[in-house]
Amino acid sequence: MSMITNLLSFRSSTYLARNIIRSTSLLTQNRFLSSTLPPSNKADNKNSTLPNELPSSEKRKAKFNISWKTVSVTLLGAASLMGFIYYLDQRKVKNRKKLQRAAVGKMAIGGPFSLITHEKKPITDKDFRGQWLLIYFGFTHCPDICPEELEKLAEITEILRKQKSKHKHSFQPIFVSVDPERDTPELVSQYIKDYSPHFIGLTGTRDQVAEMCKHYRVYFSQGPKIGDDYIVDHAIIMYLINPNGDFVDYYGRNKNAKEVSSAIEQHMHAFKETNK
Amino acid sequence: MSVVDKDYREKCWLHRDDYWECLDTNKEEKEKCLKFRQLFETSCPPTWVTHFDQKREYDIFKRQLALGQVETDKLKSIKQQPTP
Repeated sequence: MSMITNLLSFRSSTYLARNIIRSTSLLTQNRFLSSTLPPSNKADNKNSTLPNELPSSEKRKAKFNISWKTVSVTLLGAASLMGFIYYLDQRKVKNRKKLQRAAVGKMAIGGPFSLITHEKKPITDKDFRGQWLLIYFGFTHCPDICPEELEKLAEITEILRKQKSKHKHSFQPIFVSVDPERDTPELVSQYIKDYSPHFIGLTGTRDQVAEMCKHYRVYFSQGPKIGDDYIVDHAIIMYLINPNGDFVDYYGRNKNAKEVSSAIEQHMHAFKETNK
Repeated sequence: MSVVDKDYREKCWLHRDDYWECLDTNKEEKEKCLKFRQLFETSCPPTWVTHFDQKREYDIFKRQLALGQVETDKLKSIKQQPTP
């Protein structure tokens, strides 16, 4: 907008300057004018309103006619030019916002991890480069929240897989166990198959899981035991990681599958734009 | 069958919902819902039973809070002030 105000003042000052020069030259040319005439401004300055009309020969000398027509044409030109500059300005703001959204994940969340899959394959974060990841931390003995969130994750996976052809990088949903003592790869495999065939389940030693949770700022804590059983209290968040391995966004229980899917697709689009 | 199986989980949730429905219709009187309670306790592991009991208490408290039916400590202190 500052560009526009600068332009406006520049334009108006040159315009007024032009008028003043023209009118003073007209005045000096006309010997018949009385000296009590006020200095002209563009609104009044028509040749026909001068008290003593110039002879036609003198009229022809004034090449630039300042009439209502020329004034309105100039104003229209100025307005359309300003409008065009405003449009370009807005487009730049919109693009900047898009890039900002793509880069919001430059927070200190995320990091390397080294675990084993539900198929007993050792895996690290580097193996997932080139894919969009949505990671949910939970455990198989979870009473109600993990099943709900995993159903949501399965729905998100289905929605995004339908649009697969439009996406450059594939989407990989991941379940990470915060209960490594009980959640063996076999148990995790049995657990996740009921939600989606596309899930990858990760587990490992307590140290490996604790390391990943530290990087992802995931709180988890073993609750009081009843016999051998216990419930693990943990953060209920899904983490979105981009194909470069950077954390980008997170989604809590307040967002449903459709909302999360469309948010992810926006990130995918922004990522594509900034990584052409 | 354990909690890791979907069928087990769904059965547990079903019996829990039946028990809660009984409580809803009987104004939380547990004596009237003993049969449902028994079914609920046998279908779900003890940790889950405790968890769901706590959840129920919390949900009821939230509802009462929203309806303004809860006498909080602040309200008590206001009521205890001597009336002029």
